[in-house]
Amino acid sequence: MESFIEFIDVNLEFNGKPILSGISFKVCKPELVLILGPNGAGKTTLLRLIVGMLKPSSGFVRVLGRDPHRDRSTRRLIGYVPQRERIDPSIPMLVKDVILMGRLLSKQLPRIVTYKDEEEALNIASKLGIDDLWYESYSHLSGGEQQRVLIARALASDPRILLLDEPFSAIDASSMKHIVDTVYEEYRRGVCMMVVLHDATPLMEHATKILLLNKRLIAFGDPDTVLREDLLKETYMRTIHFYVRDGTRFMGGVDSHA
Amino acid sequence: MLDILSPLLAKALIATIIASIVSASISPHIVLRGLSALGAALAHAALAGATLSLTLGINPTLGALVVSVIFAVLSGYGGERMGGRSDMVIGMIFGSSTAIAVLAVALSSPYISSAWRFLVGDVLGITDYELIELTSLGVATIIILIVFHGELKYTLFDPESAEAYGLNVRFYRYLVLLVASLCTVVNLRVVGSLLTELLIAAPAVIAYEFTHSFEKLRNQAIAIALLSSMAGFVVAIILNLPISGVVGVTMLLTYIAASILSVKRRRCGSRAHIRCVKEIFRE
Ligand SMILES: Nc1ncnc2c1ncn2[C@@H]1O[C@H](COP(=O)(O)OP(=O)(O)OP(=O)(O)O)[C@@H](O)[C@H]1O
Ligand SMILES: [Mg+2]
Repeated sequence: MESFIEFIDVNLEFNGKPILSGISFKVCKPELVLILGPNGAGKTTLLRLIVGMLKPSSGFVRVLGRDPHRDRSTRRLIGYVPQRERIDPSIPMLVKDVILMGRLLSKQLPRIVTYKDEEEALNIASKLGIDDLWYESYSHLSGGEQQRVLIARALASDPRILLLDEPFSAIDASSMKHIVDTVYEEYRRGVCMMVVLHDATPLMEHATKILLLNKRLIAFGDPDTVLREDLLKETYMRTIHFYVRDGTRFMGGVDSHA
Repeated sequence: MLDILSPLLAKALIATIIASIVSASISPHIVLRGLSALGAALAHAALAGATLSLTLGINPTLGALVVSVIFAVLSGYGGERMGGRSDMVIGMIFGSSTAIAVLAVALSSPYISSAWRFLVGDVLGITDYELIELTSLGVATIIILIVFHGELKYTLFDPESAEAYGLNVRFYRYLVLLVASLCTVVNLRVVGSLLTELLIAAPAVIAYEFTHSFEKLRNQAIAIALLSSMAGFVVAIILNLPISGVVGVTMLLTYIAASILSVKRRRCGSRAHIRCVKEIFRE
């Protein structure tokens, strides 16, 4: 069976400086993978390799059986939600424009918005509780609302793989709940989810796989086998407390995102 | 006083309308991408191309087009090499274009008055052939901007995600530079290289005060440019003043009025306003 994501001994360097070394793992079926690691661990870089925006210095990346860097059409099957801070809020954009961007750019040229596109995009927005913001200016929204808009945009292209980069940084509780529910629901629908997190607590109960990263792959596997204090210490290079309360896993000692 | 229905005035009016629409359509892309200074530099490159062509005896529009496109591509490339900073490249374009223009004019004293036309514009002196050139370039610009509207907008707003969808962000950056150089050539005959920059930058800067949607920004920029250039045109004809100068001043006055009336500055949009109030009460 064709795997969703496969890394085979991937190395990546920027100007001779190694950023990621010897990364190998395979995601065979739709999973909910949490990617954990400290600042500068290469988490964003790993996502960019999956999208095909970066080419490994050596090794192979396979996404749905294809090379995403060479075969650009693979990118239409991937939804990518970048770190929110990377977007310039001074550009006048309505929430509607941002969400439709996902639908439009997954089409071939010439890209034209149809009535059906708007309808589907609005449906996705209502799932995330942002349909009443449809005609608002994106830059006026709170951090959590902006994050939900970006997730709605990624879902609007109906991806088979969804990549989220730090979706919980600086957001309110209600946005967090909407996002956790949506992520879990999409996973249940058969979308393969890869979520980069600094602190895994919000999604811990739903995760099916954990990937610990710090320039190299520390561990990849089921939460029960990977979430050990020694492996977490190797990843974050300091002691991370990990505990289970009422059957729910918690991580302590991971600073709020720097 | 000139007859309103004279062919001279009609041609001038058409040229002014086309230049306003074309400039205002590209205006949001130039202003929001932080390329306003480049617009001015490209206008000088077009001037250098036009004056050089006069000296060499070739079609000045073609010369202006070639030189401004070359400089546009160079600025894109130079900006990439400098890690996105293009101010030095823009300075170089300014300096070298002015130098070329000065030399070209000096070498061809019989054409000195023609060169002056490119510097400050001479829309009343526009010929039928020039009007056709200007219209074709204007139509080409508008078609590119309409066809690639979404791509240009999205690569500007969020280049990283646009790239993740498979768009070639670099291609669209160069496309904006190309369209900007077409636009400066359109403006050269109408308002001249000195005022092109104002026509390209002002409409979006003014409209930015009033809207939060990219399309509305563009449409309002076009409306503002048309209104102020028409007003400027009429005043210039009545008072017998240079059209380009009056159009420039009208644009400036519109900008001052817009800043005073700005919706954004008085309240940052209703919802954001409510949020500000909520936050104050929470404290
Ligand atoms: N385009 C680039 N050129 C050079 N170095 C880069 C580039 N992009 C990333 N890096 C470097 O690669 C390393 C990993 O960066 P990356 O953004 O993947 O980390 P991260 O795990 O996502 O960190 P954060 O938690 O801060 O988002 C960093 O040291 C960064 O400086
Ligand atoms: Mg990152």
